[in-house]
Amino acid sequence: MPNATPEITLAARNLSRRFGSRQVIHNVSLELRRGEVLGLLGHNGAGKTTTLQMLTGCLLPDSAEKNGCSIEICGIDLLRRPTLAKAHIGYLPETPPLYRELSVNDYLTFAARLRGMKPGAAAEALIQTRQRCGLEAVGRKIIGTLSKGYQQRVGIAQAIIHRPAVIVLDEPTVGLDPTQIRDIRTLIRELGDSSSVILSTHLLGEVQSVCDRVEIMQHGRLIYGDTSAHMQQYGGISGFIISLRNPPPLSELEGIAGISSVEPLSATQFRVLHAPDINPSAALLALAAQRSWQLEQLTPLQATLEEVFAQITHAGITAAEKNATGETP
Amino acid sequence: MIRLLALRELRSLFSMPSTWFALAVLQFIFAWFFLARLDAFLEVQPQLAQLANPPGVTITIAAPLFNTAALLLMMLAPMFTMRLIAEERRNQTFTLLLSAPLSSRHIVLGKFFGLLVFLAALMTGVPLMLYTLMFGTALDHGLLLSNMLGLLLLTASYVAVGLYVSALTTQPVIAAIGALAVLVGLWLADIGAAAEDSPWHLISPLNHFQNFNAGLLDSGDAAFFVLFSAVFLLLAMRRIHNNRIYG
Repeated sequence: MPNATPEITLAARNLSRRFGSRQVIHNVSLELRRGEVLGLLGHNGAGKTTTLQMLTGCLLPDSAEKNGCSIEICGIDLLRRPTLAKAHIGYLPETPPLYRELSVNDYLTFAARLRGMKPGAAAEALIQTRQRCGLEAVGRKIIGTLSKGYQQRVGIAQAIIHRPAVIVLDEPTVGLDPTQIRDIRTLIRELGDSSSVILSTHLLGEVQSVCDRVEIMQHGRLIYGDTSAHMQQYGGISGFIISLRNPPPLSELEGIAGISSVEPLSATQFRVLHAPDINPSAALLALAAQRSWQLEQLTPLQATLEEVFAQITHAGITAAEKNATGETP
Repeated sequence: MIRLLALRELRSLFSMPSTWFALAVLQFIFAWFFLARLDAFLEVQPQLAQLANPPGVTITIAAPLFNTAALLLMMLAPMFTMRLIAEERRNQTFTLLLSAPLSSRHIVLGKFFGLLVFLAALMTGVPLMLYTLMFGTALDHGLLLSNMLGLLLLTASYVAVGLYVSALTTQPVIAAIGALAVLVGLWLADIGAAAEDSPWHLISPLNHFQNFNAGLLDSGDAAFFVLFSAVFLLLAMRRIHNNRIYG
């Protein structure tokens, strides 16, 4: 069957975790299929890293028996048979786990062998992974002498060298320059074709550009999960910012069909909001040309993580309220 | 797996300049001490020859040299063991080991054997220097072998203690001072205890080395070293397992 649903590579149920008296993660459940890129989105301190640590076996979840909690990697129980299950995981923590005194080749070979690859297979995987992560030129260099961007790439390389089914990346693009970010996003997209990838981030743009699906995390709970295309609509405010070198009076702009409000940001810049179903930008452009407003710039408004959060949490609350009022007669 | 981890440990050690520096300084100290003892022996040799049953060259040169090596090792071992786990934690490289398909047994034994091999290599200078005496005289091979075995067992016990202390903390410096405190503490308690049957003598590794040093192979002493090392290695495994529980 060509259209069969891909196998589930990672299934986590009811993960909870407390540090001291503070409950950090509350009943988080996740599922991931082969060929999927899942973005775990949330603010700093939302519990993303802790969740990923539990998924990779670095941290045990609280009282597994009582909560009915389980983590399965490719059908193998991570909590009961950790060494078997971990061979299928590649993990890049927030700080890449690099032995700074080793050369890139030595380090990557060690990482491959550590995950149980035979020496021959490891040598082959090394050549392939180096090429994939753009590390051909630095194979013999000492990791400590590499730039931050290259170190991050070595970090990703160690996570994928043994061709794991599940790749877990904790904030993979932090501290990189824009070109490197683009390269790494392309790489993550490629990885998502053959394996499943979870990446955590606090950047909405990252989710939009690489993820198929998104889970939003706040205060240790998953508060929203959907495809990333859906989420964009969710958070999308319809509007744009225009710069006009020769602006007309406000009322004239407001008069264009479909525009709901215009807010001047400076003498020449305006924030224009419109109804989500009609886009008046074409009409506005035509008018601008016709009346020589000298349009310099038109930028669609991007929803920020803040706004999406605000909307989603708000929606969650109103839904709960509706339920509550619906149940009580 | 254990071999892989041990080799990684060795590779990291030998790629650091501080290792080579320590190696050079230590060989210099051993050579200095060896030549000083040799000099002293040559001076008193005529008087010794008049004794009915004179002590040989091996016991007058080798035994004190090995004893010095054992003392130096007590100061030196913590400086190498401190890195084992504490530094991996601080550099966040420990996650690589925790997320790899390894049990805590692999991690602990890999690190233990890696450093043990290194320290053994560090100490090979001592017997090598002594064997140069073979060109001029006959040596007591039994005494040398018993000393080498004793020194190896002593090193193992020091590494085990250091490894455990290193597993307790995130700061290599604390690990070094902690391990040094334990080792020197055991030694001072041993030499400070006046009573012949004081329990402090029983738990001091250096005290158990004395029999080996004198050329006496006692299975009780060997068993002590094996047990002593095993206890601390098990504690270290336990601590690494708890790492996953307490974070």
